Amino acid sequence: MKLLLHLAWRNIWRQWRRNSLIMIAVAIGVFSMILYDALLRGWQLSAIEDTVNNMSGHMKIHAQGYVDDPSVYHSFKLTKDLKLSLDQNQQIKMWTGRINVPAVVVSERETRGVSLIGIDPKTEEKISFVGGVKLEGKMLDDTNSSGVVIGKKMAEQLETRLGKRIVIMTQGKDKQLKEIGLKIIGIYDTGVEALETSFAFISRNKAQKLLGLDDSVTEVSIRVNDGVGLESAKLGLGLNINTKTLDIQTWKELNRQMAIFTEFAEYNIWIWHFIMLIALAFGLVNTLLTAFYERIREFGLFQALGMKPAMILKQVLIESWLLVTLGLLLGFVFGAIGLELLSDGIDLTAFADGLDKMGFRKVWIPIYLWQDSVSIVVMILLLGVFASMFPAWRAVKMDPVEALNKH
Amino acid sequence: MKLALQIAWRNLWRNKRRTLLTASAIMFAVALLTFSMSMQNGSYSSMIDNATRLLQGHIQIQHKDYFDSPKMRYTVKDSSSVVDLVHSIPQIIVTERASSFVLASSETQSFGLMLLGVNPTKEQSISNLPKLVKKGRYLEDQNADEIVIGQILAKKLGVDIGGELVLLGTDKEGSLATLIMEVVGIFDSGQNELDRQLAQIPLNVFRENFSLNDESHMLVLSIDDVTKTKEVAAQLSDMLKPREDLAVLPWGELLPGLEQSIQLDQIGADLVYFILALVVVFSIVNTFIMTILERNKEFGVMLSVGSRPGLIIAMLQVEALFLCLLGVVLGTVLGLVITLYLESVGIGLGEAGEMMKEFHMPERLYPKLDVYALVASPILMVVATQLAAIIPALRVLRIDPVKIMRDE
Repeated sequence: MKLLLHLAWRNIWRQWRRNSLIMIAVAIGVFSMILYDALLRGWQLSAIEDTVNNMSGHMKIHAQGYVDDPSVYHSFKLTKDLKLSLDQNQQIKMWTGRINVPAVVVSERETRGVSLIGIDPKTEEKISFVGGVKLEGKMLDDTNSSGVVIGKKMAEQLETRLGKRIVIMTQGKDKQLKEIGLKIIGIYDTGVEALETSFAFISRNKAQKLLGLDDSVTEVSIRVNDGVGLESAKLGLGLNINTKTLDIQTWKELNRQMAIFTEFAEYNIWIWHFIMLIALAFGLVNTLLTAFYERIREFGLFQALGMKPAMILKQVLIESWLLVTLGLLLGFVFGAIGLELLSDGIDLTAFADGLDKMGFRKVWIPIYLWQDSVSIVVMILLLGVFASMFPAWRAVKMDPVEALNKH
Repeated sequence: MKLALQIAWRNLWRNKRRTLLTASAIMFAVALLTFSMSMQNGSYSSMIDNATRLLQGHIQIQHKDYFDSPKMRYTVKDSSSVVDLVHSIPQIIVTERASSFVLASSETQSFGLMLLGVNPTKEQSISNLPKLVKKGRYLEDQNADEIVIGQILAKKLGVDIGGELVLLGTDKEGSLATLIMEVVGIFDSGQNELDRQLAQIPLNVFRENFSLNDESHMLVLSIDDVTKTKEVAAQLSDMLKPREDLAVLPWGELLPGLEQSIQLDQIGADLVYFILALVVVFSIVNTFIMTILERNKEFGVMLSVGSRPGLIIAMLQVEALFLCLLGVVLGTVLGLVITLYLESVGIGLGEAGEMMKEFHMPERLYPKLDVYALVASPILMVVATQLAAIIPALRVLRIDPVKIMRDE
C-alpha cells in the first residue's frame, strides 16, 4: 500500500503540468461549489430569520378560524393553563401574546390601512423585529403604555411625525366601529418598506380595552430553542393545548411562498454540485486515459514482472484519488480565501426594491455550513473512482505481451 | 491556408477518443448554457407577464408626484385628451383609472380598502382581473352604482352578491364623500393583498362622487410586445413633453422590485455561467497541452522541411477551433432539442406547482428559446478554447528542430 501511494505520488509529479491543471480545474469546481453553497445558505438563513422576525415567530397559536378571517372575533383567552403549558414546554424558548387586527389609521391629511398590533413590549422584543429596531422616539414601555408606534414610511405617507396624534379606527368585539386618538411616541425604521407600512403598535391592554376583549389575545407567537425541529415542536405543543379551539401554524405554513423559496435553495445546491461534477468528469477522464495510454508499456512491464492486475487497478485508482484529493484540498483553500474576502458581505443596495420580495437583506453575507462540504467531498471522491474506471478497465483487459511488443 | 485546414482536420481524428471526449465537454457546456439561458428567459417573461397582466399594465401615465405620494389632488388633467394622444400610437390599448383609499362598511363590519374607478369595457382588454370574477359578474354599466370586491374582503365584510356597501372617503376638495354601492361581483386574484383590499367601481361614478372632472389618477397602457416597453415609453415621453405635470412610467418603474429581482438574478446567473465556462476550459486545456507535447517531433520535422512556425501555430489554433465547433454544433443541437421539447410540454414543479396554481400562475415552467443564448454560448466557448490553445501553441516558437530530432 505504501509502495502504491509512493508510486502514485511520483507519477502525479512526473506530468506535473498536466496534473496541476486538472487539480486547478477540480479546485475551481470545488471553490465554486463552496461559494455557491455559502451564498445560497446566507440568503436562505437570513430570509428565514427575517420571516420569523417579521411577526410570525417560529410558530403561532391562533383561535380556530383566525387564519381565514383575521379579526377580533377569533380571539382566545390567555388562560393560566395555557400560560403554564407554554412556560413549561422545554422546546419553547420564548413566547408572547398579541392582538393583531386590521385597522385604519387617519392623520390630519391621509388615511391608510394597517395591522393594529397590541403587544406586551417585555416579551415582544425578544420575539420579533420590535426588539432591536432603529427608533425615533421610544418603544412602548409596558402593557399599559399609551401612545402608538408606527413605521417611518407610514409616517411619511400619513404626512405626520413624532408627537402628533393619529386616529385609529377598527371593529370592536361588539361589532361597533371603535376609534381612538393616540400620540405617536415612536417611529421605527427597518429600511424595508413593507414592514414600515404594515404595522401600528399599541400596548396590549390598550388594545384589549379598545376592542372590548378583556384579557384575550388573537395570537401567541413562539420562538423555539435552537436545534429544535419545527414539526416536533408543533407536535409537542399540540399535546398540551386544546386543539379543538386553538390551532398551531409554523412559519412555513403561514408564509408558504417563503417556505418554498427557501426549500428551492436545497435543490439548487444539489443541481450546481451535479453540474460541476459532470464538467469536471470530462477533463479528468480524458487526462487519466491519456496518462494510461502513455504508460501502457510501463504497465505491461509491471505485469510481466509479476504485478497482479488488481495491483495495477489499485494504482490507477489511487493516482486518480490522489489527484482529486489534492484538487479538493486546494479548492477548500481557495474557498476559505473567497469566504474570507466576502465576509463583509455583498452590498446589494442598488437592488433595494427587489430585495425584500425575494427575502434578501441589503448586505448579502455568505454563510458556509460545514455539512454542505460533506456532499462535496463525497461527490469528488466518487468522481475519482468514476474517472479511473475507464483506464482501470483497460488495465485489467490488457495483455502484457502485446503491451510490451506494440508500444 | 487550405493545407493548414486540411491537416488540422485530419489531426483531430488521429486520436478519436480524446477528440470526442473533449468535444463532449464543450457540447455539455453549450447545451447547458443554451438551456439555462432559455429557462431564465422563460421565467422572466412569465414573471413580467403575470405582474403586468393582473392590474399594472405595461406603462402608466400619471401625475409626476402621484407615484411617490398617491394623493387625490395629483391627477392627470384633461385625461381624455391624453388618451387621444396615446391612441395615435398604433397597437396600444389604454384605459383611465382613478383611485382613492376609502373606508367600506357593510351592515356589520368596516374595513379600509383601495377603491379604483375604472372604465368597465376598456378595463377588460387590459387587466386580467375582470376574468377572475368568481361570483356574480364584472362591472358593465358605466354609470351604475355597482362595485366588485376581492373575495377575502367580501368574507371579512360579510357581504355577498346583491349586498350593499357604504364607502366613506375624502373627495378632491377635501370634503366627505359617501357612496352606497351594490356588490355585483367578487373576484379571486390569488394575491391576498388584492383580494383583501381592492375594489372597483365605474369611473364615471367615481368622478361624480370624488369631485373629479376630466381627470384620472393613472392611464394604464398595454402594448403588443412587452420587450418594446422602453421604446414606447420614450416615444410617449416625447409626445407628452408639453405636459410637464405628467410622468410616463414603464413597468420597471411601476414595479421596481420586479425589475431589480430580474437584474439581480441575471447577474447571479452570468457569474454562474462564467464559472462553468472556466471549469470546462480548465478541463479541456489539458487536451491541447497533451496534443502539443506529444507532437514535438512532428513539429521538428515540419520546421526542418521549411514550415514557418506561424503556420504550425495557425494549424494548432484551427485544430482547437474545429474541436470547439464540433462541440458547439452538437451542444447547440442538444440544447435546442431539450429546450424546444420542454418549451412545448413545460416542466412540472411538483408541490411548488400546486402553490403557483393558487396564485393563478402557471404551474409548469416553460423555457423560452433565447436567441441571445444561441449566439452567446458558442462565442464564449470559441473565445475560451482559442485562449486555452494559444498558450501551449506558442511553445512551437521555442522548438529547436535540430535538437528535438536528435533527442528523440
